[in-house]
Amino acid sequence: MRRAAAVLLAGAAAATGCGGSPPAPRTATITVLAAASLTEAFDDLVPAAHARYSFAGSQQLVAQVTAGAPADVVATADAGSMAQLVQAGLVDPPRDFARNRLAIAVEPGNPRRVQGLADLARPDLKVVLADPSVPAGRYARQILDRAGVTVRPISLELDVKAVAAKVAAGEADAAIVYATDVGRAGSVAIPDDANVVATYPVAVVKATTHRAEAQAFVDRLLGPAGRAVLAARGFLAP
Amino acid sequence: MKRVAVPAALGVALMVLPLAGLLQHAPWSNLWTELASDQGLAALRLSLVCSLGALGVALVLGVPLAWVLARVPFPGRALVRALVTLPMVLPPVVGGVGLLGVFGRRGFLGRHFGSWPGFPLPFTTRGVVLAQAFVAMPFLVVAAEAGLRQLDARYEDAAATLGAGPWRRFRTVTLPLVAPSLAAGAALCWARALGEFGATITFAGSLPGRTRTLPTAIYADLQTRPDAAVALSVVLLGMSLAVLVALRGRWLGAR
Amino acid sequence: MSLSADIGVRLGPFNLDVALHASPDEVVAVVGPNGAGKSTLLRALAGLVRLDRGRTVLGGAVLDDVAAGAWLPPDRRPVAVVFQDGLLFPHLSALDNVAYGLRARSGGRAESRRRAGAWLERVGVDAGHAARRPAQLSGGLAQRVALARALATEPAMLLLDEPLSAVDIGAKAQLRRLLREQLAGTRAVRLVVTHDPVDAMALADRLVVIEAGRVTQRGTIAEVTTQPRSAWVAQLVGLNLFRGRAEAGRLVLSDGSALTVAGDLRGPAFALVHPRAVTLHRARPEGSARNAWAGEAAGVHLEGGRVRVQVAGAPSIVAEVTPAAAADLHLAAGGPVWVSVKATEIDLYPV
Repeated sequence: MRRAAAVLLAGAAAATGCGGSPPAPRTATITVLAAASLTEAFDDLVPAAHARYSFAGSQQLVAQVTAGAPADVVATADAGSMAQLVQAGLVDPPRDFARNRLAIAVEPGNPRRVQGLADLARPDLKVVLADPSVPAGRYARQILDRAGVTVRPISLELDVKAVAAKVAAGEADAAIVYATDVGRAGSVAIPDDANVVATYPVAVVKATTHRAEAQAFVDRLLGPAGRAVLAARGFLAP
Repeated sequence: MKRVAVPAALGVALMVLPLAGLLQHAPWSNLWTELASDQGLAALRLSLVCSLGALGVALVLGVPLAWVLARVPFPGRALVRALVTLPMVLPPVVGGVGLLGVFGRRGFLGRHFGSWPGFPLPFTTRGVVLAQAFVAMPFLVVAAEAGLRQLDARYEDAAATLGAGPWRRFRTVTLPLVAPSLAAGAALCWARALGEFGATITFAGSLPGRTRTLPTAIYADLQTRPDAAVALSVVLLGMSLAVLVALRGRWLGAR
Repeated sequence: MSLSADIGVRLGPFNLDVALHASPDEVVAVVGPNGAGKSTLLRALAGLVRLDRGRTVLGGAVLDDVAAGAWLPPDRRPVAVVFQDGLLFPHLSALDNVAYGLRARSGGRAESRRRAGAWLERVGVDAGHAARRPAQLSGGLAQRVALARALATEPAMLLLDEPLSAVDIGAKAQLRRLLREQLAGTRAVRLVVTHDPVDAMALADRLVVIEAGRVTQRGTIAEVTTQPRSAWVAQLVGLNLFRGRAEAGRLVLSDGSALTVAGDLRGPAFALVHPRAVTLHRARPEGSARNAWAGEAAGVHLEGGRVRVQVAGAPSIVAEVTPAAAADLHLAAGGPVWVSVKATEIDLYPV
């Protein structure tokens, strides 16, 4: 089977290898893979017209870069995901550019009167969490474990934006998301001693073909412009 | 000849290479361990239950629908037929959003009937069945309607003159005669339900053991346990292939 | 238990508008060209087509009455149909096809199959063939099964739609004889729709001719044959028909006269002679014609450029000649005339 597959792959490579690649544009548009929770902040920093963004769960970003996705910059929502890329030798040394806390998202006006983490165990509440395979889900589990609260979620979503969206759409009563992801929903703070602070690292992808532009993006993110935009969206300084 | 052969071969490559890639990456040595994990088995079991449930819904609702479309002329029939087959071309996610719009807590039905027995539907196994039925039923309806249209209605006339009432005619003449089309439609419907992802994850979410079906589990595992994801993918591939072989054994056999 | 039907059905370009009476002591053939509305009439009688106007009564029971809003669905009519191509259910064995009607009329499974087997035996289908699917049966056998299936329900009215048209020539004569026997053996009202005059004459006692949705002629076969009232009838029904016994190259008729015929058929038979094949002479003809006899020109009708001459004799026969020939023969006033028919022009059919 392996041999047959190899033959087929070789055939496909031969069939597609004959076309020339198009000439690179003078001012290159870079591709940035970023954690879903960064969606709004990155759009504020560099409008989508000047950078191609792909937002997803951090683990998915790792999978994409590992699979050779044509990316120039990658920003994850946790150190662990980035560490996998560093270990694999796929990215330059990363730099932390922001931190984020988690919060309880509730419907606007908090109609179900959610006071704190303990309420999430209430059987009358529909709670959505992120799947433990993404950082937000892992953090939520840490927070709940630490608080000794057992939650029976109705869904474990595969990226944090989908978690927040369930509350925003009214399909769930409460969720644990990044403070920056509360969005249109209302929020209930999680006390600092119970909270987890997530660190956001960014790195240039080694395989980039636009190293200068990629580095410029990282510099802008780490500079005053980036700090201002991130702060406005509720992120903490690194 | 050559002008056609090259794109044709590329076409085959496009269809076959991803499957080859999947098989090449499959963790053959510990495939069974990956599959037999609690999560893998739970997803497999849930997928079987839900897809068969969706097939059941499709049979109960889809066969009468196909009958009406094939046999009862009424104004707007073409429109109804188009609407009913729309889910075949609609992105499933859109279907999921639409289902939430109807059965969600703020949906126009869910708002009123949310506390009735059988409700709520979002984020429940019933919801998975519903989402899969929404996406997969058109395959059954289209096949059953085609079968009914091809059927010579005079057989039913003959049965009527022999004293068979409408239900007996349907049961003893119509159904056996459209059985091949119906079986083909049911197989496609089931396979489509089995592979459903977009509408399911949108409408029913992704809770292991409850709403996380095989495709959703594959998507989730891809990020943390890629070997498990590929193992589950191989299972899905095998099931789809089995359906195809059962359906088109003749095609593969002849010429 | 007789049929009285007055049937109006809209049929696109023309309407079917037919009054029909049939009693159980006769077989009625409904004949006419293709598209005349024969099959629609039959489907209307079976309840498969709703009437737009009219009323059907069978043995005192109202099947249709448009004015009163009454309509009995096909499955509740005591009417059975033998369809043109048999229309046996392809997924059932011959036996189960015959048992179908018995089962539908709430017969038990075993009893229905037993009786179905008996019916199949009666129409000459053996147990081996009874177990086969219709696709494995010849046209003639399939039609026998179809006949058994219809008869098994013991209908008050039996409708046959072109029962012989899907059968090949070789099996036709045999099946025709079987149909005659079986039709004679039931007390049901019996209607045969056909476009084949041979079948009509072989099976029916009375003809109803339908053209373009209307009855153009009705009567016994002799009446219609001798006095066709339309070109179509003249062409297809206006044939000379003789019934008798065939024996060694001869057909002996009931009046004692005999025709020399080709072939070695024996037993009850009938012969068809097209009027155009009948030659008239002023004196005894010489030549190869094996049949020649003297008669009296009894009636002369001009029809569409041909002259039909009725000759009374032993036997009586109708000839069709050109107007010029008629003038040569001084036939206008009738009078003695000689008739000749070649043996090869006589089509002989077993009854």
